[in-house]
Amino acid sequence: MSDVGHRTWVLPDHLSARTALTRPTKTLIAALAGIAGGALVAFPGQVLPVLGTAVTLLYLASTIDRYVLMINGLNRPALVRISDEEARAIPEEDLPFYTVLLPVYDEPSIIDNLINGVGRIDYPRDRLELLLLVEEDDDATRQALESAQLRDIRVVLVPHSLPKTKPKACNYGMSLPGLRGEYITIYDAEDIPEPLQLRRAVAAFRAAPDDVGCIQAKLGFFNEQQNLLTRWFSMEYTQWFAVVLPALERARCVVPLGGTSNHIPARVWHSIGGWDEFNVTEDADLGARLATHGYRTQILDSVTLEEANSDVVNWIRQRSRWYKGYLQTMIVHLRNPAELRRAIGTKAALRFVNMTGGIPMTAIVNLIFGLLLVSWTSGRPSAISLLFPPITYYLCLVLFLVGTPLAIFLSFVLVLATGKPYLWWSALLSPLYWGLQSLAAIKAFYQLLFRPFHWEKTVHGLGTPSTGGTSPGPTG
Amino acid sequence: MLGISVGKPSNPLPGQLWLRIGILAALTTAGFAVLAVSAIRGSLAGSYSAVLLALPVLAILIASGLRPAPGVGDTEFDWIVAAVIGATGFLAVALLSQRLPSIAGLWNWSHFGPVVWAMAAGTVLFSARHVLRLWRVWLFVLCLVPATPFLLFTAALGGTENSAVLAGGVVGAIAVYLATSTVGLSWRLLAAVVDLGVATGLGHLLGGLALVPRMAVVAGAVPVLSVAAVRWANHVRLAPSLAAHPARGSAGMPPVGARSYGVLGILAVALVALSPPVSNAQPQVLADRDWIDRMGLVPVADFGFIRLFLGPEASLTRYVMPGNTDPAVAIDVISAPNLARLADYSDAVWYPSAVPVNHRRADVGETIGLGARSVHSDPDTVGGDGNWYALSWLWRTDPGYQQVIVAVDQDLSAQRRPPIPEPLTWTNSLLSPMLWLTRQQPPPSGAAPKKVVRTADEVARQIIEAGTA
Repeated sequence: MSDVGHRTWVLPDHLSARTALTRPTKTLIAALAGIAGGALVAFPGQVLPVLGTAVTLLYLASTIDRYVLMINGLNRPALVRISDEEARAIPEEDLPFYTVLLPVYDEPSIIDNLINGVGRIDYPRDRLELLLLVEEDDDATRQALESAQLRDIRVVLVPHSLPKTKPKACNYGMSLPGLRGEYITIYDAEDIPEPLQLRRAVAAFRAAPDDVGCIQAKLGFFNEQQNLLTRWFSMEYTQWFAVVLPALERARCVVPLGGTSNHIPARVWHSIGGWDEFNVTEDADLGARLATHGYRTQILDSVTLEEANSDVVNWIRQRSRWYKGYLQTMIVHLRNPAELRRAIGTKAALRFVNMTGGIPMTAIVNLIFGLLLVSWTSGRPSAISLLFPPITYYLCLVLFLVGTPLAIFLSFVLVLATGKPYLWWSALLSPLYWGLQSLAAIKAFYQLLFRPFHWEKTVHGLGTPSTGGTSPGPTG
Repeated sequence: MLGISVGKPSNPLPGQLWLRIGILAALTTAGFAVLAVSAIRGSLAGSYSAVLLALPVLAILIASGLRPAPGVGDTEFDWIVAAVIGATGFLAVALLSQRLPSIAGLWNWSHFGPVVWAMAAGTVLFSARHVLRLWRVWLFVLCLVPATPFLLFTAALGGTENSAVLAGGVVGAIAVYLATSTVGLSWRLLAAVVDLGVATGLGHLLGGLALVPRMAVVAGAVPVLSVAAVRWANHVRLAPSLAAHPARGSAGMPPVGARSYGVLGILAVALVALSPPVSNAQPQVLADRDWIDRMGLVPVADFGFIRLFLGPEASLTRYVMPGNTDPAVAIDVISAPNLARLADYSDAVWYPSAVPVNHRRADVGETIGLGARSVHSDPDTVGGDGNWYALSWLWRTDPGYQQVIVAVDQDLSAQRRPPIPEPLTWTNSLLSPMLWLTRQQPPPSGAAPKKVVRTADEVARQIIEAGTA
């Protein structure tokens, strides 16, 4: 990475994904893989059962942990709720300055999106800093902005430099002199935040203990009923933001932040070092760093509507970036596992691994187990019987025969509990969605090795608001 | 790494599209040249499976009638999907063929190889989106490429050459219906019916010709002309472009670099190297036509159903040895003038069995290159009509060919004849074995009683002696 022309807020090496997988690390991984492969060939009778059992146990532990989180989240909702009256009760003069970062790239329909989205935020304009971060080489967006009269929005041209990532642009925005925001947040160009969200966030911060360093609003979709993929996506997001993240917070574990709508006091943001420009899920990484610095993240019952990916390939690209970023985040924070354990505790450290790198890893294992099932049904190769000694075999059988229906059942319960009964049939078909996740995970691992800092741009504008979705208010 | 690159998809000219179609056809033909030669040879020799020769044309015809798929493209994803399709497809075919070799042989599961390869290579050349959008092409090809469905359909229509030509006409009509998806339903149905009518008429008029040219007309030329006529009448382009959709981020043909072509070429060469050699179908042993009389065999039954499968000139006759044998023995002789048609069913098992059974090489006649095989039902499994053991081989007689089957009942105390042969059906030749497979039953492990095997060997030796004396 030679072209780091305009240095913005580069984290120290040990906290950045910049050095997540260096050449020596890759060599070490290759060597270990070679040794493992050699052992597999030389002692298949010993290595295969150990391998099968280890993977099964880890998979089982990961699955149980996720089920526990989901059940806890459903049983004991931990969302922070601020009523409309409370939000509006704060006098305008008491509201703090708010910096809103709007990183964009290749968004020719930016003006409509801004008008429909952040343009409707209910917050005094003189206390709002809206920074539209446009890359220097983004001709499509710049052309769209040329003819626009943008009141209240400051267009910031981000100089070309590598890596070309959203956190790099955001860090650049935050490095500008004269920013007054006491709180900061990020929205994507096409986001439609609930109008009272900033006021609710301020009220929530004021009511929260001092160690709350971030308030994450829920993310939803305005086109969730566009097709089966958007329904799956919506079901997953609902599960993540309404159930899993609050449960993580309640358990005092690391909350991987969503890509947008995370509200952070500027002093906290500065104290933890800003975003990692080399991490392609800088949000998840920031959540982890908040936790290691002793901050908690609460989930606010206020929805920002986004565009659910309605195109399978586009979804794969986006999801592969997320998975790659999860892996980067896990690698960065596991550089010193003892320090991580000291900072957040054993349970939180294990759960952090499960909720970051564990997600793409289990997605890959899903695919491998699926292929093994097909192979066993087709031809009963002896290597597979070696992989699964009796106890391991029965564990896997339970995972397959109980775990799969249970996951579907939980999804079913969840869509009913969150007031989205129309998603029931996508819950029933969710194993197909797991297949897509596996393909995305393969791409993520490939890119982690060969293109670690590549930002897989998600194409927007394939969905329309008319295809059904959540209303951008508190879910109550 | 495999020439993987992610970039904006190119907006191809029709020439580029046809070039890639040509490359895919060349890669597939090269990778499975042995199989292609075998199919061509069988068709030219009179096999009813001659429709296979028209299959590539019909597949391209259907594919050319589908609209391009709008959406986002990603070359890395294409490679991943190609790898998953290739790995899963080849692995499943290999494992299934290893477990059920006789059913794999009868149903020509090896023919799935080129389809899997075309799907995987096509994913790289045309993108996963376009290849998956062609699902009806793949479904059409997967239903026909094993040939056996077509053979069973031909049998259901009467088992003559005219039946095969009529079945080819039906296949062509289905292709016409699928290839005209851009026009209204009434047009599609009309085109398919007219195609079938014209194909049937022409097939009848060309009755004096060999099967291959007749099939080329009814399942090749007529469907192509029918589709061209429909498209001309509806002002539809013959070859739709894969050009980018107006929506943002839409995918045309993905960029394919020299390294990608290189990788596909190397894989095609590897496939050739891994192809099993085609066995010489011509039997080595020429038998005396009078061997049956010489042994004094007594005909006890004639099974006419065999003519539905091997043609009107074929026969299946059951003979018994003069006097009593212990255990009871039957000698079933399938005679046919056409080796290719006999070869189409060389892996068929004509006796009922509760579980799938597999042929094994037998020692009898090894010195003269007889190529005998044994197959038996599992004595550990309860069978409705009892268990049996069969020893079979194929030899030339003058004129024609014979498949001789020495069948022995495994029940040493019952003194009953082996079960009578049954016609092949979808249920007994495919559905039941697949259901057995999904029930995850252990492979049949019981061996036939030694006395039964010895008896079959002894009778076989007598037959060989009589036939080759």
